[in-house]
Amino acid sequence: MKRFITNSFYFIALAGLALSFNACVSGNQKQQKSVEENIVGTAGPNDEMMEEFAKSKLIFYSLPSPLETAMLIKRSGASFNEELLNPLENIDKYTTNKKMALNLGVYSADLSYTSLFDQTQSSIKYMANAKRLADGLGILDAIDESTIHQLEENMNNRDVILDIISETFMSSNAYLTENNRPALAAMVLVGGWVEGLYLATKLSNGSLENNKKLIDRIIYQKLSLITVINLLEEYKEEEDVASVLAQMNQLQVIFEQVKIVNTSKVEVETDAENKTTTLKADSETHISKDVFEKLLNKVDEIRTEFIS
Amino acid sequence: MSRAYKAIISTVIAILLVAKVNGQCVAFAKESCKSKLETYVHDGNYHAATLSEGEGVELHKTFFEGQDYRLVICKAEKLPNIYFKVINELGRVVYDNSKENYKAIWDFNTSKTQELTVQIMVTEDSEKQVLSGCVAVMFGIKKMTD
Repeated sequence: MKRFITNSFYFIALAGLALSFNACVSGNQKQQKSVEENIVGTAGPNDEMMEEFAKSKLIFYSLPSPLETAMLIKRSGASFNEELLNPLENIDKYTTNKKMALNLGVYSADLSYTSLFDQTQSSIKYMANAKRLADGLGILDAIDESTIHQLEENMNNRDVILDIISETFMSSNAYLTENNRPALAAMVLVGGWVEGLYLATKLSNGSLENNKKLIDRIIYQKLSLITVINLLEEYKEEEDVASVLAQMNQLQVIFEQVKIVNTSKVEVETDAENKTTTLKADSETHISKDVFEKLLNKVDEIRTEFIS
Repeated sequence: MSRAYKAIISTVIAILLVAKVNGQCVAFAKESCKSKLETYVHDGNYHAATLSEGEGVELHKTFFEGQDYRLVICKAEKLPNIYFKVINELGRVVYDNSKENYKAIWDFNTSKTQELTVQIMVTEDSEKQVLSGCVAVMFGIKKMTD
């Protein structure tokens, strides 16, 4: 199976070449592709096509982005705490590609968090730091001076600010993945994911009772962690990735003690008027105080290593 | 021209083509796909590839209770329909766009946080030529009102 990974999207060199040639041979006769020949003339999906799909599919692993994580935190009713952010002055410590990538993710998460809570002055400063790290990684055009100016000009328009953040995050990610640096792109995403988890755990104030919605958000990161690990596994031959993967595996040992149990059947309902589908199901979660403490400590330890 | 020299030239050309094709997909995603999210905020993740008829991708993502999502799949104009289905963690198909005339937009929410798998495939309907082009997948999240 060809496995193409992205948090976004990753071309390994040979497969990339293969795809490019595909792109360039659009005039080729279908007879030249023996496997596809079997399904010529079939409109729409059928069993044979799906079988072929299973053999040749590319795989994307999609993590919750910094923006989505910040939205989850805000929707849980948590508050803003500036003291939790990675201090701006830490940026001078980040001189290796690994640290720059991880902290581009970290600062992107902080940027999203400040923006969701309308801390625009902080957002501008964190965007400037994200720009410095993107520049350091050689990412061209993702964040430029005009991006900062756009933020300044739209200080009171959260929608525009969020749009600018999502655009810059996508551009950085696309640049790295499509310039044969997918491992660094993965590290940016993992840095952002860890920072989001750090913010959520700190905002819980160590209590399982204060904000149950926030605790649920933390517990369900158990599912995202599987995606994180699958993503990093693809690049584990690289030393920098291997060390981050080891940290994620340590985190998984703790998350394995967290229980998520499905308690109802899945029902699918579509609202005919607004054409929105609801996937109805229930589940219950359980985490002991002891495991929660271990989780908080491990997240804190990993994040401290990332930002130091 | 020696065989080795030809091989080097071919490799360089191929690498340049990779950059060109991939670059086109970034621009394609931004220009042709993002606007279809309409009032939903793009989550910032990038998923795009050059695909040929019959090729597909599988995307794994956790979706959270309490968020309203929009899934948008965009394709180069010349490509035939894009087929996609969404499968839950129990292996049940919860959405199949072939039942809705290959609709490329799906709005949904979930009452419990769960991982879903989106299987996406370029269908085949041209008789003689294999068509290729960019396919992008984007997720939007409904804006917060407060």
